[in-house]
Amino acid sequence: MVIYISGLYSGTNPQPGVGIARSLREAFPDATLIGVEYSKRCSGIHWTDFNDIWLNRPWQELDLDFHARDIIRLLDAGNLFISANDLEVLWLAQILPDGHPNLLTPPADALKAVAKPGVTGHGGLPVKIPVYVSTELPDWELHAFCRAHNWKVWLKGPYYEAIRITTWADLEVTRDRLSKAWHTEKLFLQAHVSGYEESVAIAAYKGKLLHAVLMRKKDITEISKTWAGDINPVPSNILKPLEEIIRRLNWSGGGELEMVRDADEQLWLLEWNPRFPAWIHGASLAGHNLSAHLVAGATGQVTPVANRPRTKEFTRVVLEIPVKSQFPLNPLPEPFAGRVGHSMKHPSGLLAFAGKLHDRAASFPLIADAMSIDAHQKAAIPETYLDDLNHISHGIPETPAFVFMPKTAAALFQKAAEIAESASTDRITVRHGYSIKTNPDRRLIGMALDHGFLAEAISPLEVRRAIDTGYHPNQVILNGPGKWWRKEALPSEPLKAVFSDSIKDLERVLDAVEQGDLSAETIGIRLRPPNIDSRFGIPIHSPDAFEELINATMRIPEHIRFGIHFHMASSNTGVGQWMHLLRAMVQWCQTIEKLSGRVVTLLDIGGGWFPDDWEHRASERFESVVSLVTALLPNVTELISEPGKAIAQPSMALAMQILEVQDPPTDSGGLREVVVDGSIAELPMHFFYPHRMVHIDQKGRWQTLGRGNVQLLGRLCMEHDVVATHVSLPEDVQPGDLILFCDAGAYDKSMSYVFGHG
Amino acid sequence: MFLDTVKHIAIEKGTGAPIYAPWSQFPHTLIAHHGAACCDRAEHWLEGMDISQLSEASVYSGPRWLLEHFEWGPLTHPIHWCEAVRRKSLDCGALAAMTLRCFHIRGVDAYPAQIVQEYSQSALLHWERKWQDEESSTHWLQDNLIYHECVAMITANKTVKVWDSSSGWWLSPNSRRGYGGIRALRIHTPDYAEKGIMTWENMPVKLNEWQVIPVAE
Repeated sequence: MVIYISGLYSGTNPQPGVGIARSLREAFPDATLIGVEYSKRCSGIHWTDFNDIWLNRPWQELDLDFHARDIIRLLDAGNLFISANDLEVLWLAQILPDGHPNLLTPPADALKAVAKPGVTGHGGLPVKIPVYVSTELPDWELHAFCRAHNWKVWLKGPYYEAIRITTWADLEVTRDRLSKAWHTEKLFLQAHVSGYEESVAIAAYKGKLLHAVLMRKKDITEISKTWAGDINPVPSNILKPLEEIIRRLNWSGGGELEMVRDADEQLWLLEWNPRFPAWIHGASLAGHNLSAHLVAGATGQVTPVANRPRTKEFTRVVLEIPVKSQFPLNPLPEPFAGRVGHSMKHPSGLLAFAGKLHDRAASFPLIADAMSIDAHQKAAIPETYLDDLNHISHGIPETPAFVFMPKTAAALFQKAAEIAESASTDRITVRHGYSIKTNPDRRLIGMALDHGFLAEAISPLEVRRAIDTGYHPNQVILNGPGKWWRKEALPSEPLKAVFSDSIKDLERVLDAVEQGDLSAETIGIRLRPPNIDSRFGIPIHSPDAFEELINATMRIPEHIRFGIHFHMASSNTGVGQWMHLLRAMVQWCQTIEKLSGRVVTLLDIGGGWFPDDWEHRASERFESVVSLVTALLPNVTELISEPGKAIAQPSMALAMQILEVQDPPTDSGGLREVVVDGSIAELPMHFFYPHRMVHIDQKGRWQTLGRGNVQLLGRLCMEHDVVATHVSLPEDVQPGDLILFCDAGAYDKSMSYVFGHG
Repeated sequence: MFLDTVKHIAIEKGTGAPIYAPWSQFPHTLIAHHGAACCDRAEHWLEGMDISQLSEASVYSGPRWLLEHFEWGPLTHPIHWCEAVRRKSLDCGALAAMTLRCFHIRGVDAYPAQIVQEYSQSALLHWERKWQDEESSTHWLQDNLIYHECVAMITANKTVKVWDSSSGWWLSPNSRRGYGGIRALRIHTPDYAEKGIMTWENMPVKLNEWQVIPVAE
């Protein structure tokens, strides 16, 4: 019996070839095992259980048709072939879509049914699939997905690689790298599931499940790969449907269902790999030799009696083994001049293999499904934007220029006012606060006043600006650590509320009140959440800090109303996490009331809402917040909600003019460079979230832009002045055309700076 | 020399007494309350921290944050809430008591769990020295066995999970022998309405009774 086994890579993220060979050698001492590899650097070729090694040239050099003929000839001659390399399995299924009796890998239809991320063939198993989206969606929606999942998401390649994403900048850089590596823009984002990882390994032949085990990870590597685990029988609620699925898919070969068990005992199926797992010999040590079951099933032999299990548990060690004399080691490539570290491309050329398969996608439906993109979708533009665009597309003066979107702003303020009114109850009045720092434009402050917003200021100068725009001091809230900077600008009349950012700040506020230098209807404190890094607010992370806060609160004079302020940018934490933070903070408020004897009458919450999140199910959210506050803090009569950038961000756009259009790149995958007269100085937030973009030609015709192959370079002589990448522009784009960056009315506007103006 | 744990596997003591005999009458640890604001504040702080730290996770998640905040180490009893929350280190009993409080505030059915674990004599000698240095009792150490406190959570279908508050992980009855192996268990549930046999992974567990964990095959 001759068995060819591929997938011999044996680094810290190993392939299973060596484990399969070890298991087969135990079961079939006389079998001829031939390792198949595509690089001499894959150290598994030196493993002693192989009788011989079929070392091929790396994938980038290999003639795929010639290689396919070789494999088919081997199979026809009665040799078995176990592939342990996902891409090779996929390729073999395209060459032999209906399989081959001696090819111990799944057929094409089965692979289609278990393709990630959807794993459509999992029906019947007691598992869920974590939520995912394709990167074919507009950036705007990808950002929304990340926010919706609290920035706990993974960007995954079509076959391998999963990279944790925590920020928009992360996503942009990682998407670029993975797209280049795997020769496709078709990646996907998947929500993280927290829990314990476990896997079911299977061996099946022609639709019959021959054996299966459950492995629970007990130790993992830095990239979460198995280092140790225990082997258990597969529970019947998994085994029974699994048998049916294997039959339905006519599965042949090994397989692995990678799952996570969450704290509620729910199983989540992350991936269904079309080959044995790398830990497969660990199962053999526990008396479950799946590799042997597979070979016996395929050859009609009696499955060899398993060795008495030595243990239910296995672990790994690092071993040095002799190098086989016929495969002397290659030299290590020299580091690039002046750089750090050795440049080691994937030794077997796996990435180049992916590229070759992509080039043949037309004749390989499986590959086409995994990698091909029809067209990138464009972000939807709200109706009010369209109205505003129709009015401004002809009348933009000197660029770069911020363009006010009056209809959009008015609609947002109006909607916010309606939400506040409908969320108010007999006991609690809901009001919004306009954050002046987010955009101190008088038009926006004026609209806020007209729509019943309070003004939220972080400095006396901002208080003054609100008053100068028409606010009365008792409509202005002052908070933050900078309230004593330019304090001469503070009015003598009472402010609506003053919130202290530290115990020292509270003492100073109380002194100022006592001396008549400051007056406010409500004096309060800002709380710093103990589980999220923040520089703002009074900490409660230790018993002593909490005690100090209680004692300081008790010093606030009885005749002054007491309030608590909690602000955290939901666009950074994610909406779900923000809501949890709020619930936790309301509990803390209840505790502070109980321990200090001071009742909370005003609660100020919010900050940093992304516009779409703030609007999405806003009435329902406000209703639940009001009922939470009513239940836990019965003395609160005013709930101030500060939507932060939710109102200001959509209210302005930044217009830039195209200065120069470079020729399209000659290399495939290259980016066409277009220079604009704007820069990161006017668009400082472009690192943090995507902006919807509109192209306006010189006849005033406009169109929204999606993802494409243009890189927009800013006018500054700064390496990082790239205002957008992967933008689609019309082929006939001309110098003088305009690009409008929507969603620039918040910190893009207020934090933009003058640079390069001479 | 560290294989001495294997040599000293003791299913029963020489006297014929069960393996948990030295601790069979031990009550689980309680943290005392001064009946004053100092301990009220401490308890409320713990509860607030747990709600904050839980973030969006399931209420059935173990309160790992406790081990980020406190180290496991010697402690002298009795201890009050206002003292306990300010300690740098807490013993297994105090950590388990805090964990219990966290689970209860979350509305989770959780109870004290007492276990006997096997370690090596050399490990016990180090612990003995460390506890003596802090003038703490070493009653929990005997030969190659230790008395340890955890928290048992009862979930659906009469299923038990045991949280080791001092390590931040869920224990498994499969680790029954050798270094760290669990040799005996008692789950203290006098107020639990459901009676009968519970299941800890695949092992049957009787509540409120010490039971020896059978040695795995």
